Amino acid sequence: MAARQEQSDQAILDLYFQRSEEAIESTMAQYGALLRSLAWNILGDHEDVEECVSDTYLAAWNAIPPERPQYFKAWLCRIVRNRALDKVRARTRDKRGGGQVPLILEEMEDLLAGDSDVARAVEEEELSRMISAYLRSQSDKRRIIFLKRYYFASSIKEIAGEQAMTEGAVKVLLHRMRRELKESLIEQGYHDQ
Amino acid sequence: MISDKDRQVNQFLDSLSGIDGDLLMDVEAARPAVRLAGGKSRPPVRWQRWTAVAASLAVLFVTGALITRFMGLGAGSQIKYQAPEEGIKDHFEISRTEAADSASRSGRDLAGQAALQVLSEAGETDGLFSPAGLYQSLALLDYLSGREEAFATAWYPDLAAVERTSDLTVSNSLITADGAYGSQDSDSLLQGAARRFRYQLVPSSGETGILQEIRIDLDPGAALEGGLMAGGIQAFLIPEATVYSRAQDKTLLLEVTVSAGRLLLALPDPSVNPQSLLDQGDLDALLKEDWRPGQKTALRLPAFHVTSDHQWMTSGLDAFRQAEEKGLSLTYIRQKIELVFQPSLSAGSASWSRVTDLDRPFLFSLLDERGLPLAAGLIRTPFQ
Repeated sequence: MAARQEQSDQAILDLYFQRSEEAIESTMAQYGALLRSLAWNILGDHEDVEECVSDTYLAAWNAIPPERPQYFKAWLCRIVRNRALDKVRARTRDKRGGGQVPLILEEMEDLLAGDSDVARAVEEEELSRMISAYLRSQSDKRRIIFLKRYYFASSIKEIAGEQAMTEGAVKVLLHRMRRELKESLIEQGYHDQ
Repeated sequence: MISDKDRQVNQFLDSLSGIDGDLLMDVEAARPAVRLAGGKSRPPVRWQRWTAVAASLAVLFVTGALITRFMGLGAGSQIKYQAPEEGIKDHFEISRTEAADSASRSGRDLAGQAALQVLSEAGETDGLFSPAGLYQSLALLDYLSGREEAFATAWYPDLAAVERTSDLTVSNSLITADGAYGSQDSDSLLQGAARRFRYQLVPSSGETGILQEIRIDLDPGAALEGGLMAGGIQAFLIPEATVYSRAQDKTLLLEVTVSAGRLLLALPDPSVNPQSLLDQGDLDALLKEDWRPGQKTALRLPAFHVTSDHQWMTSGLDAFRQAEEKGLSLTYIRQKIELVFQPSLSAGSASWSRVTDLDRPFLFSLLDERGLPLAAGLIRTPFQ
């Protein structure tokens, strides 16, 4: 099935390379709902969501070609997610507002070392690689729940409803995963001991 | 001033954007809780409130009717099809008595949740769920919790075995908790599923094989040779099927009459991951979509055969978790099913104006004559 999605993505990318305006329409049809959901979960504001998603389409149009993303869906999600996070920060500064972000930031504090000052600064790319390695070691269900929460910023309630779990069970699972991820990061040298 | 703690948590958040793309291929955002259209609204005036209440009731009514389509259980349930001209159905119409609908709602909701979980947990393999086993397992827990007064044994091969054996493997013998799911529902299930399919209760020490067998049969002459499909797999052809297409993409819903009732097959658009259909709320979510009027089609598909071996005690469903917390001595409650769809081929040939191929992963639901669900599943590998 992933192969079919890749085939469909390749067809859309071909449209970009042909500089056909259908490229944007196909992207909207295929991923528009997903991108808006992701932006909405982070921003919680209709106008910002539309701006963010439109910017993403424009970014795709400008970047492809020459770029040809291997995983088009992830590539689009990354753009919209980064823009949404930037927008939240610019909008709220010290207030940390917007959608699910304040709650997610609180949960993320579990990942910090006991004394955060001693945490080794690592490149963002390296941290991404460490997190990827951890997620690869997980079952599909655990990985999906983790990403729904921390990548797509979905609420605990929505995840629980989809996964036929109680909200408490989702929270417990995510807590365990954050703890495991922290241990994994320590093993990989993210935190100084 | 940004603290180091803030910098770190933001770094985590940003780093997640850069994880390997393939890890995201089968993940979507959870269902949006809020409609995106429209901004902040003013507080509604009185007439708007009443309009909203009326609209909500209408939506609940319609949605409830659609949900019962796949997971409905109720003695008074009737699924009526509107028969348009020339025998082509243009839409489903469901009617169910209020009492029957109300009596079976809790069980239905639970079955829907459980189906979603069982099929989702199947991972890359085919998935199969039978609600009968779920009810039976719950009823057995009631019994073992000492609540036998709330427990009606409608049909059971050897009830005494339950009392004698502390470590049981339980199949889909139908025991229903009176009042919990509606006694009429129990009767309906018994007369339908239990009579038609084979159930056993056996101690775990002696259990090795399949405990519930579901065989989907077509009427004689209903299946013809269909040539070879992908992978050289022999296909068969069902001349009489109805197909509905979803308005926004190429997802198809196919209906086939089988000896035991009806078989519904959902064939997702090639760009849609079948798993994502489940993530969005199970098979019943499909029926809330905008379907075009039905058309007659011939259906070409491979035989399929799927098994499921599910452990309910560790399933995570609240009902089972609570039972576990009561200190029951059961070590496991197992639902082990085999479903076979391999019709006998008949000689014959004909030409069809439309042939639909089930040549990729699909979802299915088997309903008996009254629309009671017997099984639901996801075939991820149709050619194996």
